[in-house]
Amino acid sequence: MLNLLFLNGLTYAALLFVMASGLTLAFGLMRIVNLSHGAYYLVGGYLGLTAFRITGSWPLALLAGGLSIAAIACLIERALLVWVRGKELPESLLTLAVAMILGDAAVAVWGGNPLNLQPPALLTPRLHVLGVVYPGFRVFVLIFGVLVGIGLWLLLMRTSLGMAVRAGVDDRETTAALGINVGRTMTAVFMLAGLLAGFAGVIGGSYWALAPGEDFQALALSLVTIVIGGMGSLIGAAVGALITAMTLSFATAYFPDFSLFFVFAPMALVLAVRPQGLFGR
Amino acid sequence: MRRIWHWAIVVMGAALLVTLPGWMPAYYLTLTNRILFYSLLAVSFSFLAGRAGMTSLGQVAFFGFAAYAVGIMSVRYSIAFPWPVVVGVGGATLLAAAAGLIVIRTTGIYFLMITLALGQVMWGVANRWVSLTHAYDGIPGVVPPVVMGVALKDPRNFYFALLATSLVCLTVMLAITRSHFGLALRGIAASPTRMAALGYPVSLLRYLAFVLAGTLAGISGIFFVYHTGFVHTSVFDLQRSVWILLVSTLGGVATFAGPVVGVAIVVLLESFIGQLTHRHATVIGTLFMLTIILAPHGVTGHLGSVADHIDRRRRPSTPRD
Repeated sequence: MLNLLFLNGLTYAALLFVMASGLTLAFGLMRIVNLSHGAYYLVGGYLGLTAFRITGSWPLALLAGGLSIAAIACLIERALLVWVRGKELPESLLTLAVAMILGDAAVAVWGGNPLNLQPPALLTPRLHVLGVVYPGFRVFVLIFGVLVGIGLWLLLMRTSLGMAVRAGVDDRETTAALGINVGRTMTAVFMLAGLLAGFAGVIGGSYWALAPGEDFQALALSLVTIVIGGMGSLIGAAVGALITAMTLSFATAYFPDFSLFFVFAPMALVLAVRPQGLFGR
Repeated sequence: MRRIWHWAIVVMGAALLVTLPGWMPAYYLTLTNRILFYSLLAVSFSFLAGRAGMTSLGQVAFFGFAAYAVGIMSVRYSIAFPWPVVVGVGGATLLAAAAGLIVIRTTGIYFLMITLALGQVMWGVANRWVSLTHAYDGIPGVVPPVVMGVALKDPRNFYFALLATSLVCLTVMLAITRSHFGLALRGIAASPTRMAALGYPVSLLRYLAFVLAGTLAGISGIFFVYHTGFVHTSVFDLQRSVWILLVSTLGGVATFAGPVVGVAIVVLLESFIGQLTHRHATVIGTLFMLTIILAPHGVTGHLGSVADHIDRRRRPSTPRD
């Protein structure tokens, strides 16, 4: 039982990390909290579902969900966010308005009933892990999360884009003065965050289900995750995701009705000791 | 001369409000009720946003908690008045007191994020705790109580009870806003470090403001559930928080009357929009987006917005309240 809860927590943490890493990176560079990240998740999942219905291929659905949201994110960043650049609260509130409209559009297109995707048999073997029979898809999610983490780490540390991002996080003005196009870097990071949220949506839609309201649930959990881990920190997102997912997994087993209250416990603890989050600066 | 006009308007307004049920069609009386209880929620929001600089997306947590407390106690357990109301408002206050310990440790965008999460956690719990809340089915059949021999089931009596409560709450909030405490909150919004240096207990004052706003949101929730007769997970919807933020911003969170005016305008506007489209959230979201792009400072509560401009033009040199 404990092993199962531990595995559930671990695999859920991977999904939460895919969500939260994009959110935290965008925050680090742009100083805005993208409150439409949850809507990206839900709409990405739905678009993946539509692609799945057309092509019948799950990997294509994953790609479609991720790429279409990256495109939407690019559009929103270029067409809307530039209007309020540099104003912290209005920028975040604008993304909230976008989230409402996207969420409403999703209800109009995909309806109010829960829908889900069927992952391919190749990704869903029955595995024996830690003495329990465990769905292989969840193990795949864990591997996917780890790969995303490694990929992001390499991107940040080994590429010129990553260098621009890290420099921009530390000092946006100086970075711009050195001739780096910060605006374009921001768009790239915002798109990357959208891509990850779209991936997470397709995976989440195969793991559980897509339904109205899930957008803001996903957003709330991602926010809690990055508040725990520290805004702007990739390692923080990973640790925050682990803490949040483990808390949820165990709380759901013992107090299924109000398990969500428990996600506030680690956050309260962290805010009491380190208000900037575990890895925040 | 201006004072006479001032009082004339007050007297006329009072006469209008008191005689309202006598001549107003039932549909518009319903809208008036909506305006009144949402005004309380809007003042709960704008007291935090406009005074203390704490933009909360979590006031629905207390609003919804009170609504659920009344719904569950009076419908499922048939507990008589005043207990559902006492537990509703008291519970909302306690919830704010507990949540306040966490949220006031943050400011600005962090505060926004955590209060958003608070409201969403309440939504999630209401959605999953099916045995208690009936989730999507909700709890129908909430009937206004009989208070001191007066049956509030009668729309007229309900209106007067709501009007009286609203006026008392708004007067109290206005007094608090103008009190030393209210001024100190404004100081904290402008510069917390300076206020701390002056010896003000910054965290305590922010905490008290948060709890007070929670109580007010709870009172609003009570009237909401008695008015609607129904409580459902939608009370915790983020849409409702955004709606409150939007209407308060349109009216102007930096003024006291602004949010009330904003609620009145938008509720009336919506009763017309509602006949045209079901895509309510899209309309509100688009309005919200335009407000932010056209008046970004109005959203943060320091400048802009309709009531604010009128207020400043009338009294250029005196501080706004």
